[in-house]
Amino acid sequence: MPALYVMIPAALLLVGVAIYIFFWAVDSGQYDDLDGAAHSVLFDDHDPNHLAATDEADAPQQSPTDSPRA
Amino acid sequence: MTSPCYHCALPVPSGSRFTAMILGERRELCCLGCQAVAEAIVAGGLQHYYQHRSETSANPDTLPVQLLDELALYDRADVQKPFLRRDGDLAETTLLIEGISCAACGWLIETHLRRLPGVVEARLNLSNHRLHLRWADGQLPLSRVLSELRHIGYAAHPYQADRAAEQLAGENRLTLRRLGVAGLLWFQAMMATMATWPQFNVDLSPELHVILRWVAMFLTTPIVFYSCAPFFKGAMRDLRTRHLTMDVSVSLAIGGAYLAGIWTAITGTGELYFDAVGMFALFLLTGRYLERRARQRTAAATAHLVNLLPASCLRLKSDGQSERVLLTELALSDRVLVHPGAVLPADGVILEGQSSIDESLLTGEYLPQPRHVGDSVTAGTLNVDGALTVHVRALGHDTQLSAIVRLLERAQAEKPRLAQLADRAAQWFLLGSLIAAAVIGLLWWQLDPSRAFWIVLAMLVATCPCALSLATPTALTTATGTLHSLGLLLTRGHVLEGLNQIDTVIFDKTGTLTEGRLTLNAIRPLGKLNSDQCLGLAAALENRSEHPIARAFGRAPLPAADVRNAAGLGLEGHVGERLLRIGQPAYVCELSGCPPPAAPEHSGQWLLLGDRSGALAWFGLDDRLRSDAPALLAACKARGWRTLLLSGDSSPMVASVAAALGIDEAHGGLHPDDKLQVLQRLHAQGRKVLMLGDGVNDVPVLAAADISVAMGSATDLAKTSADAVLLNNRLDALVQAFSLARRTRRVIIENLLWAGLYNGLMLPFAALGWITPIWAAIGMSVSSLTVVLNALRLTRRPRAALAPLAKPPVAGLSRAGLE
Repeated sequence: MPALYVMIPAALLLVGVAIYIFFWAVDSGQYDDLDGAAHSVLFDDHDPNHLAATDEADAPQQSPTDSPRA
Repeated sequence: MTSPCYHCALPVPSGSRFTAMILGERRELCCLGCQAVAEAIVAGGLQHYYQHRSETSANPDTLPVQLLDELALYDRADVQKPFLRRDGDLAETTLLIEGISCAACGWLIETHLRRLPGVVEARLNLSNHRLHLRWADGQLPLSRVLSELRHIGYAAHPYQADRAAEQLAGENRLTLRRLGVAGLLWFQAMMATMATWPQFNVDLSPELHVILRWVAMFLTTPIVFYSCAPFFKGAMRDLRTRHLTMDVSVSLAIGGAYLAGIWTAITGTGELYFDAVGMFALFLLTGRYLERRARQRTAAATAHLVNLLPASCLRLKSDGQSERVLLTELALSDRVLVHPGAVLPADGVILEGQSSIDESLLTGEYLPQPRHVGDSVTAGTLNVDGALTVHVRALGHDTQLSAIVRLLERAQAEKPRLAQLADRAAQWFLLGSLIAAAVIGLLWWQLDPSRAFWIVLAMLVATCPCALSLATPTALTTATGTLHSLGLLLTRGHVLEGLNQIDTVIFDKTGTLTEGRLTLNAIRPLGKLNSDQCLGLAAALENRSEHPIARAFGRAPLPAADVRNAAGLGLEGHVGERLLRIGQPAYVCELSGCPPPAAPEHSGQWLLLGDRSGALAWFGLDDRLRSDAPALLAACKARGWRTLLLSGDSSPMVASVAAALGIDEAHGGLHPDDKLQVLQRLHAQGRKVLMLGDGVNDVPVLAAADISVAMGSATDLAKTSADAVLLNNRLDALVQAFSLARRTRRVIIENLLWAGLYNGLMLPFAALGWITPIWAAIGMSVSSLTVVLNALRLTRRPRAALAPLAKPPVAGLSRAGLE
């Protein structure tokens, strides 16, 4: 059982660290938007079709062709 | 029938020629605005957006108008100061974005902005529609960022958090921290506690037994004092007001188990209940957190966007030149120039010019009203056709608009609270279990005083209403999510439960049951030309006009030349060789010198088209019923609800809409306070009222009704004072909400029954002294899990509504002559 004498303080230390990290995460706004992150994964910027379209659009750098909207 | 607009899904007007190449195909679009946005998106290489999106986009014309010189104001340092932080070369700000309909919008905005030169970071929070932006504003002025967003179909406003919003965000974070602490510490406390239970205890030495008890106590203490603080506070508050609530019973169980645990830790005798404390805290806080999120799923985005007034206006200097100033810089007795299509910034009197004013948001009148020199005008209304010079008489809090807002605040204070099922259930349940605990405690005191305390404690722990308090939040959370995906955003929590108590529905007309914009619904040719030819000529003229009426005519096949606008009278121009006029009969007939023909009898606005040889045709413009309005009314009738139509509009259209839809009672020409009086009368009769509306004039009634629903196209003020928002303006989402509300109520009742049954079953065993901490833990987890799983059934969408009803012919609104 002597192992427990090391394991218990180690567990307490780990919990302390975990709570510290959790508080940091909450305060830095990691949990403010629970919807966005779930979706942003799905929009793959490396999709070949998308990249092709992007290159095409970047080649002649032109401003969007719309009429001036007052 | 043409297909709906590919961008915004609104119907494409007949004869429209707006198209764009999207995803390799030519798509039909409804208007120039959609076309410009779609082309900008495609040109930016972002057409993927159309594959990703799960909702149709907002129509760009519903967004507030953005003026170039108004944007330039945002580049002034003194204007930027309150909302811009500076860090070296980089500026940092938060923008509130309007027009976001689904997650793909976030992708579109972020990707588009990140590609602009100078942008370092662009992050959109999809829950509150705030965009966090860090960029080098030396390279890219803020006005450019705002106009870039506009190009892809979103309106952005600089955002400043008000105190209420900051406080709310702070509370949300605190709740989450409490939940996290409870969870993390509970896992550890549970391991330490369980090791001491006889079922798991293999070969624990007495010293280790002591150490584990103390470790468990050390870990549980923050849970009790940090995480559970709101329960204790709530219990104190409720005891002081002599209420028995769930907080009281939870506090008793947690407090009792914790104190008994301390006793056990010190003396080494008795049961160790520390893990139960942690479990209660975690389950209950999870329930509260879910409920909080469900109840706050506000379009918090729009919460403080009460931008009924323009941000800036044109002030006339003494030399007659106009300069653009912020609305806050405007003072009383200034003279302001209001161009056609602009919103009036203040109450005042017309000094010069004549025009018609669209007051529909304030009064519900759907036709623009003519106004001349000397007439007074109100802030927040729309100047339709002529430029006006207005002498400012009242600003800010003194305007009539603010008077309505004040009426709203009063109405909100008077809003009745619908009883919530769980509250009522908890009262009885609690009373029962407390009495039982006291009786059994007394009995055991007689039999075996040494066991009495532990028995009572076991009873309190076993009957802790964990499952009971999870029953409602889980059901509400899942149902709210399902409704959101159907297009109904609940912003306050009582809607789902309250829908089952409703017996009366009040509708607004303009913009709610009708589309709220003029559409062409009749053409009466008077001379030699047929209706198609007349429409072509009229459209050619109207296409050169910015007037809202002009949009009803669609795209013209012919070009018109030399088009002149005679304010308040009509348009004149050449199509080919022919000189034409369209507008007021007298003005049109001046051209030919013939007497004006008699106007048709039907309601609505009638425009005359004529040339030098005489009148050619009448064009009837009117507001059209929404196609799903009859289905909504049918659903209300099927439930036996009384229906009322309250409109600010004084035209005969109120009666014809009511007759067409079979509405029980209809009143027209009502002021906001008249509407409120009708509502108060209904309340006095003991009726529970649902209000559906959109305009500013509906706002006080929306705020006072038991449940209020605003249209997605409604003003921000209406949306924020309503309990729910119909995001896509489809009334059938509301019909589905009615049935989902029933299912939710059933699930809540099932959950409450299950939770009550479980607690009732545990009670006799606890009373007999058979419940040990391990049985309490197992029972608690199983019952809570059952409740959660039962609630998850609500994620299934209701069966698709019955086959869409064919559009019934509506009296007075027939589209005769168009086909």
